[in-house]
Amino acid sequence: MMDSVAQSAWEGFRLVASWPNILYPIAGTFMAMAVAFLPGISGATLMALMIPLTLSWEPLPVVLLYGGLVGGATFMGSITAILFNVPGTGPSAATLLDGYPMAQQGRARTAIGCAAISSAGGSTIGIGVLIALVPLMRQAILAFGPPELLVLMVWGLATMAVVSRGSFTRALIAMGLGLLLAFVGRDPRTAELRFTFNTMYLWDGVGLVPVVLGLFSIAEVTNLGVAGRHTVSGRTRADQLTGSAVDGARAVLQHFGLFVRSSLIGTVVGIIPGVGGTVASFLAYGHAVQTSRDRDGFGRGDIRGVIAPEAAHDAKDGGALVPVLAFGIPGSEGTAVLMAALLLHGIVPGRALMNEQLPLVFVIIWSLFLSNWLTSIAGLLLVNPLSRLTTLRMDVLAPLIMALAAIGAFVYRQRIEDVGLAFLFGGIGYLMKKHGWPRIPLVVALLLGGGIELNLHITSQLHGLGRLDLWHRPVFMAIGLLTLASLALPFAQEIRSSLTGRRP
Amino acid sequence: MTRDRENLLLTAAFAVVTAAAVVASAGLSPVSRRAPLAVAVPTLALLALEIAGQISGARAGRRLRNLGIPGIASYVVAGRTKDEAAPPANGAGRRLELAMLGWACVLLASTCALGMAAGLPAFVYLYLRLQSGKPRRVAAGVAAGLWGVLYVVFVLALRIELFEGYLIPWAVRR
Repeated sequence: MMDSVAQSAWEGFRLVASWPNILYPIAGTFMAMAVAFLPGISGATLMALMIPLTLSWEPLPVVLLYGGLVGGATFMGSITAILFNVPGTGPSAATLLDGYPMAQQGRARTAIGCAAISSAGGSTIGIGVLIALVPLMRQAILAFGPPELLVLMVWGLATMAVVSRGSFTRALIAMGLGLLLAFVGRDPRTAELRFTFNTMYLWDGVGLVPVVLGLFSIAEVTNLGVAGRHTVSGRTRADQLTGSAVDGARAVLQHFGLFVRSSLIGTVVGIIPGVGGTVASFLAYGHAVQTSRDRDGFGRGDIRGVIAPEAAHDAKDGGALVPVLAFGIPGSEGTAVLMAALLLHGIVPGRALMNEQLPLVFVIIWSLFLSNWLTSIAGLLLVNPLSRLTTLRMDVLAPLIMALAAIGAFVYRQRIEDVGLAFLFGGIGYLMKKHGWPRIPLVVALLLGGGIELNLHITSQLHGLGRLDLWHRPVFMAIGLLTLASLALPFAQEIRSSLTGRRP
Repeated sequence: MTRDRENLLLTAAFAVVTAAAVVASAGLSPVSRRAPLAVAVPTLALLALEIAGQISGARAGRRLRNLGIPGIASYVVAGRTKDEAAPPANGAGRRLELAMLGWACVLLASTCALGMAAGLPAFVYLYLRLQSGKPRRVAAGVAAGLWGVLYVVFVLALRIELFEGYLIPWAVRR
């Protein structure tokens, strides 16, 4: 079995590296990188737009191109998070916690360099583990049913609350508000309309992209304008910026253990369908904070807060392909579009693909690997011009960012109401920032709310019918205990500090 | 309005929205309301605690808030990093806030009236001229650049139909 896997891996590598096949993943990577820089257009949107253009292609170039598209968008979302406090993708929200403060301190080059190396290294570890585990994948995936997915998503949310000292209550409230927003629209189980107030616009729910653009980019521009800050970094010349990409790369080596552990967290979470990179990034960030002795720098530009989510985020990509290719279960918007593109070209995910067309599976894996490295190398090469963006004057940037946010909000679902929604959340986001309310738990809860509710419903239905014995599901019990332990940690620290008379 | 009062109003607004969700849930079927109620009721309780804490500086609220470990909270609270100035709380700050609110309204109005291809460059031009005080040539250049990006990326490359606004179709119909 291992021999055939190794042979298929080599055959897949040979197909990717041969001329002119290599051009497809490279083109896909650069297209995804360019588009990911525009607000509102995700990698999934680009992949969907590419489907009609590639209909007449042979399957192999399509697989090569889509491998590049999957990997290209991931890293660029982190660049906008670091430079402008605007997470390009959900998982990048964890990177901005420390990446953006670094940019504000004039250390954007270090943050981008660190993100690039962590991403490339994380994806390498993720793909390495993935290849090693291909024969065991079936058992791993089947161990995760609705109850396990539910507790895993809850664990992701719990981690965010735990790393919120100073606004623990507010983080929980923001999460509650985010979950309530996720419930707006048609209930997927009963088709009943919830909280739509008789407006058709809300039937499809509250869009994530307008909320993210409002809470982050519009709110940030408003805040910078009101605070009278002339540039993001507070510096107007590139030579006033400090740090370098080499410093960032060195930081990854200094915290190599954290980098490896975060990559493994990302890989494991990636394999589980329906969880996604957001949970992976926040679990890795929470792990970084919880396992560090000196925690006070987190949230203020600690490089470890960039390493952990970036490594996990990119390590997840390889794992996320497994449920799609092995079982035809897409775990995210992007993998759903990928599956649609494969099906249109006669590539049917499932046992046949994994047994008879295994080299094709490795073509996607190697394309993704190549794409992840290409984006990181491009990020390193572009570190100087990118970091210079933090020295551009806000009085010129502000109207452009507002205009791009409006376009991004519209393009997402092509509804003008989304532009109004983005500006409404821009106002709310500004007030939340001004008064110390965390915005990230709201966004992540909005992202995970649908999945949490669906899995809660299926779990309770199965349990009610006697088809589910939660006590005999070891993965559920293990993750459930980890969630409880995460939530108990702050209380335990509080009790300990009360006894010793010291703050934790 | 003081900063504390503004924060209290924001918290109260969150409480009203959450309470509205509880009330609206009552009219739903038991299956559809289970999850919203399971979230809204504890959120409302936490909001009550937060409001009580803000009004009286209640010790319990403060202790609960300070649970956990740094990370997100440092980013949002102290997370105005050393270099980042807090928005001024004086009249100048308030005027800037109102100006930004006004510009957001201008952007929405110009987009709704003229559509995205014309409204957004028009907004950028006006902002650069009136708010930033940039020369006419610079403002026009940046606005034209934005129009170029909009046209090339969204219309030509991605073939996305941009919103055309209400004014021009209305004028054509007349």
